[in-house]
Amino acid sequence: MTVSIVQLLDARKVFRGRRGAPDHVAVDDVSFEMSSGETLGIVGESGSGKTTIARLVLSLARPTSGHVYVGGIDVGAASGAERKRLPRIVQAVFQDPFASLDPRMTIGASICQGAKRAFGAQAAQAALGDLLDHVGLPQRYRDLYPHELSGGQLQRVAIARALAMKPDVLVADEPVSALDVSMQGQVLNLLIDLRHEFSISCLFISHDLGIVQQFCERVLVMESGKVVEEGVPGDIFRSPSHPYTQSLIEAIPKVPA
Amino acid sequence: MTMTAPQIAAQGTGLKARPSRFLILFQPHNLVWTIGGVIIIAAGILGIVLQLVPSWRHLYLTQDLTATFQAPLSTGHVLGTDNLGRDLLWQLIAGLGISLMIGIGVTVLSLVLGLTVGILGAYFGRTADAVSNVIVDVTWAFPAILLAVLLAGAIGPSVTTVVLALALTTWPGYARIVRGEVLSLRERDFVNAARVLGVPKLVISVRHFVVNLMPITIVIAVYYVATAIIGEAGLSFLGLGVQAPMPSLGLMLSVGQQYLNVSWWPVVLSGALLALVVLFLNAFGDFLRGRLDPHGRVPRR
Repeated sequence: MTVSIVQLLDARKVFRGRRGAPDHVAVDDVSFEMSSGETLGIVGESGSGKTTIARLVLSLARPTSGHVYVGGIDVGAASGAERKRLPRIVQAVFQDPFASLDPRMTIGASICQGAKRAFGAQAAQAALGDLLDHVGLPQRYRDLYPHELSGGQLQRVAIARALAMKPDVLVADEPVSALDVSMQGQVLNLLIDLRHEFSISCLFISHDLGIVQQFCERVLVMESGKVVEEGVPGDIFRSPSHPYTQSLIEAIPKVPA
Repeated sequence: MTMTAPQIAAQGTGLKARPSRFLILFQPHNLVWTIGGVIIIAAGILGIVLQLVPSWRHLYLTQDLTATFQAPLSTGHVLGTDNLGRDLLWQLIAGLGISLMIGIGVTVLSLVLGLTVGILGAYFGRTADAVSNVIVDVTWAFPAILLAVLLAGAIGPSVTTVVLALALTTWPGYARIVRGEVLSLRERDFVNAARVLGVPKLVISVRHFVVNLMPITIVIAVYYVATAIIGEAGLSFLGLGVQAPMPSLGLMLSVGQQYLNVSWWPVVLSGALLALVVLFLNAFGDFLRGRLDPHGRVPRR
């Protein structure tokens, strides 16, 4: 039996409306489980709550009600010691590689930032070389600053930074949507390779149905904070049962032959 | 259409021909500023050294009551002497040193306070924000002169009085800027990434916020030194600050104006030096702003 590594139980996230604006329910009592080693995709249009789910799993946001379990820890009610374990369980790759690296920190320092805290400075430095190899970046990049690299290279750095923590789960929030198409393919292939190599589970958030179909074993379709459909990507995209999924698929631009 | 050689060269490379970072200082239209700046900085450093080396103090403190109010270029004194027969050139240099030391002291204090309170307010919870906002608002409403009068009454007029009065009234402006900047920085993904990596808030504050605030801080620091020098002159002129025999530009103005009908040069010379130093610092600040703050986040003055 597989163990669930990430589990949401009626998780709800409400953003309070300011100055009389109505409250916004970003995540509306969502429950799902992700088993160890699985690659789960979440698709949906902008504002459907995908990114909020990522933030909940990364404990960058607290659930208004319900529970979010990561590696067995209830992140909404975690103790200090449990909170300290989380960085070694779950890591993230964000959408915009230019924003996710501090412009005034070298690539090497960025990659080691969490690892030196978790494993010690020497161990982190020692692992740096291997990490750069794994993500296909030359060793000399460790002393460069982010503005000297391209978007695709920076996203590799972000992946290396996440891998440095040896996490069980990688939350990838639109990891390729800010890259041009040739880079998308390379970064995706890298993610696929690493997933097998490190046997990491991956929560993959995207609005691109094609990429999700290629990358994920199972997919959740979200609409305005709710999961409306769930299943194997091939089945869902071949015969969508929910009208929203149908409209998402119809929305894919087609070039007439 | 004809083109000049640099334009053609620029077209060829697809880049604008731009002088390098430091060469720009030696272009003809900047040369006056560069030379003036070097002279002012050199005089300022000399003035600070004068304060720190006791055996050199006689240079500006030696009185000669037989040779008061000597005109510039008179025997032995390039810029003449004051009401007590002290050499004016050395007085000006020493006074500039004191003014700069006060300016730098005020600036360092304000920046440390502003950084601390600004980051506390923006990143350490709503209570901290509410409290720091109230402190900033109340302090900002307090005039420097009133505070200086109160401090002078409590601890007596001195350099410490000036530095405290000016620092305690300047830091809120910087704290506001810091708070605003951190509010935007903390939403950036590299801060989220650091949080996910388990980096503590205090480390995030120093490693990400303070470091990323450095460029605008340097620009602000230069403006603050200029403002503090004017403030020092004002407070010393009113007798709330630097006390004789310690020289300062404000004190020289204050003493000099009592003898204005006898000799005008002490007032004019100290006033002109004050104006030139402040002008230079503001121009230097503008130059740095162009280099370090291209998005114009430091409010224009």
